[in-house]
Amino acid sequence: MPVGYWCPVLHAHLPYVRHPEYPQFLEEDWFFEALNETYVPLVRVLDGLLADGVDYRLTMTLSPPLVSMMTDDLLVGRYERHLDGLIDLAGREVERTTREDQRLVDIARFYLAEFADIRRIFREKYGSNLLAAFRKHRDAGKLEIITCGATHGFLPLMDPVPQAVRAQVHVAAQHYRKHFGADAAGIWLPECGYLPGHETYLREVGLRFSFLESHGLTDAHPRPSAGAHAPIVSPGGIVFFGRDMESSRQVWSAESGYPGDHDYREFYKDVGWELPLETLGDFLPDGLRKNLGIKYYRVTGKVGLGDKQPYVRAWAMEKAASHAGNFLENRQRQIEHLAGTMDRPPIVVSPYDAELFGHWWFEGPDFLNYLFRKMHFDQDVVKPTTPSEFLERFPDLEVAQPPMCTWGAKGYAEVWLNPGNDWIYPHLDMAAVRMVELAQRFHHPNDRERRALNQAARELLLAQSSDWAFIMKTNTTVEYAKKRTRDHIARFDYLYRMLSAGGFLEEPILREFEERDNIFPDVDYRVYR
Amino acid sequence: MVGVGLSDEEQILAAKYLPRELPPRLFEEERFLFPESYHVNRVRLLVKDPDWIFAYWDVDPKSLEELGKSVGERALALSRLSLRVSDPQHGGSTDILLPAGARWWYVRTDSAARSYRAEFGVILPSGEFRRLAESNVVTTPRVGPSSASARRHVAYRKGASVGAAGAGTEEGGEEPRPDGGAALGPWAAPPFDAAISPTGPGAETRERPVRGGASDTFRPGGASDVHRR
Repeated sequence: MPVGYWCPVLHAHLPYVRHPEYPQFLEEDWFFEALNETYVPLVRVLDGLLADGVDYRLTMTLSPPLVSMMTDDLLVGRYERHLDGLIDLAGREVERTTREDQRLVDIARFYLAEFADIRRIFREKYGSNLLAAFRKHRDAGKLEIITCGATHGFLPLMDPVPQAVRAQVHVAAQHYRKHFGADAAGIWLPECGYLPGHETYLREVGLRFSFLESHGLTDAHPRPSAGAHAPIVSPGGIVFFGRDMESSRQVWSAESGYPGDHDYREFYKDVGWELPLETLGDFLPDGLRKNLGIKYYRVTGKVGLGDKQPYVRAWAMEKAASHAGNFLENRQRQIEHLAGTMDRPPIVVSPYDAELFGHWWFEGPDFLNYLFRKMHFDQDVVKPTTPSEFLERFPDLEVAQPPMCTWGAKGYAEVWLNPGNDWIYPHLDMAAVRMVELAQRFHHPNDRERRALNQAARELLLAQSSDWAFIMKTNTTVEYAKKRTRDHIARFDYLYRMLSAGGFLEEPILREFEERDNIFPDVDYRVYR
Repeated sequence: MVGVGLSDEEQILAAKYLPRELPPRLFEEERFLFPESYHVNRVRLLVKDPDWIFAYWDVDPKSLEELGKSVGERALALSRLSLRVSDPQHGGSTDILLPAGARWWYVRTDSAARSYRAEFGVILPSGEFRRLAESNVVTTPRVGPSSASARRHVAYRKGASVGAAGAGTEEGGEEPRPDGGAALGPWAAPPFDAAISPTGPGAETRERPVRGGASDTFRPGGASDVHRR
């Protein structure tokens, strides 16, 4: 029996970005990049572990918007064309670097092989449906898939309209059941945002556990004896696992974390910004530059982008293996220390954004690969586990009430509620109030009214994505976040006015909304009653 | 018609970007403007962190008209829209005189975990408060470890509800309380006139330091998604 357990959790989420009204749309690249650099490489790692008999364990959120995008024909088709284009570009880059810069030829060849392998895995191995891969690993007993809020709505700030919180949870649970053929046992509360009392909604759909930032457990009342290293159950009846800060910092920290190592790939130096536009015309039809995922340089050190040195794949792999060994050693020491202070085996829960592995930290999936293998073959102190497996093995739980908490900066709601984005909440609140009003008023809608009611629910859910408030705070693609908030509220407003004032619901407009915002085709507006 | 003046090759290339399969857009979201007011009387509270709650409100102009008829137009003109924030459990309240045109405000909270409710209304020249709307109740989070140790245990069983378990404390510990803090007295906070505040709503958040404790520890999380970096 191991001394303790490690519970890695990857939270995979992207906002629902799908724009059929345009032939190409820049923000759809978020999904394409994440597939190329995170989701498919992760599947490749998991497949390798399974094939080699490595007894790994991993917990993953696959958020409903992400699952919806992974199964959307339009986006999958666009992704495949994007990937075909990248393979073509990578081939041309092999020729160009052979002619112009011999230092980069090896890495150009690496990208050509990498993109081809991504395509093989995505298209040939899994039939362009990556959910099949995740289900395979779930069925093998290695991967626990959990759900999230329907559109990653930040639940603590929806609390004034309880039906809005309930809808986020219920729609997500139904969506999970549809795509994974079973009820989810766990949920990643969007942004790890917990407000006491929300357990009610989780229990209604059979959810059993979730995760909190570490102060959700260490500041709980009464004080849990094991801090964040043993799950607790709240008086509301949901089990909460606490985030371990030490293991998080090792990976997340920009200063001391692994991803900043000098041998790893430099994120900010991309051919999309460096090659002549005529070379990249297919990708940049409007002439606006963007990342393409071909990056030839390594972090190098604290030097300007112009002084970065070429990326050497073999060095990066050596470093990933070395960091995996370091991470394991630290977990061993941490768990041995914790075990001396506890009356049961400790659990170290390490949640990360899935996109950290691969997209931001290019070698992240390789790090996980080495780590799981070392954990399996080289030692017995720490073993990986999942929440459900751990709870079955160690069912004894202390009862304590966590405080409101999130995993955002400073630990509460400031990231999603500040002078840069607070203006959205009166409008989101009113839309939720009106949605409840519609749901309670329409008991026997005709077909068109029913479609409009369901579409109103979709528009509200999409407007509630925490991503928009987050982007406004972080000052990245702010105009897009504002546009999305406005567009969904505008569509909702139209539907509300037509439904509530006996207005004429124009079929072409309703159909346009349905085609554009097609998430949750099975949503039932009555969830807002 | 595209491609006027273009070569054959350029016309073919340009055609790639024609949205031929797409019908023209029927609904123009760009024309939508967020309303200044929803013309209802309402006030809401949201918890931002242990030190601040966020209040937003709407007012129905008809209510003010009726109030004007009741108290007189001159009295109404000299009145101030206000938030009366109170602790519904332990008592105590404070009035915040709102600046004209404001639709939301950050309210400084007590240092202890406490519940709050707001009444939105008008303070007449006589000092009388006329309520227009009442908010939801919110509770700020406790910060720091509880002085009471958990002692009650329950067993997790697969497929069975864990149930609504009651929290317990060790012998001699403090009584369990929803907020987990020590016994509180009434909330005492001075009235605040936003009109003489140097800056507008939200300014206090930027100016006043956040209290220490758990909220100042390393919090790397929250970075999520590709666009977040």
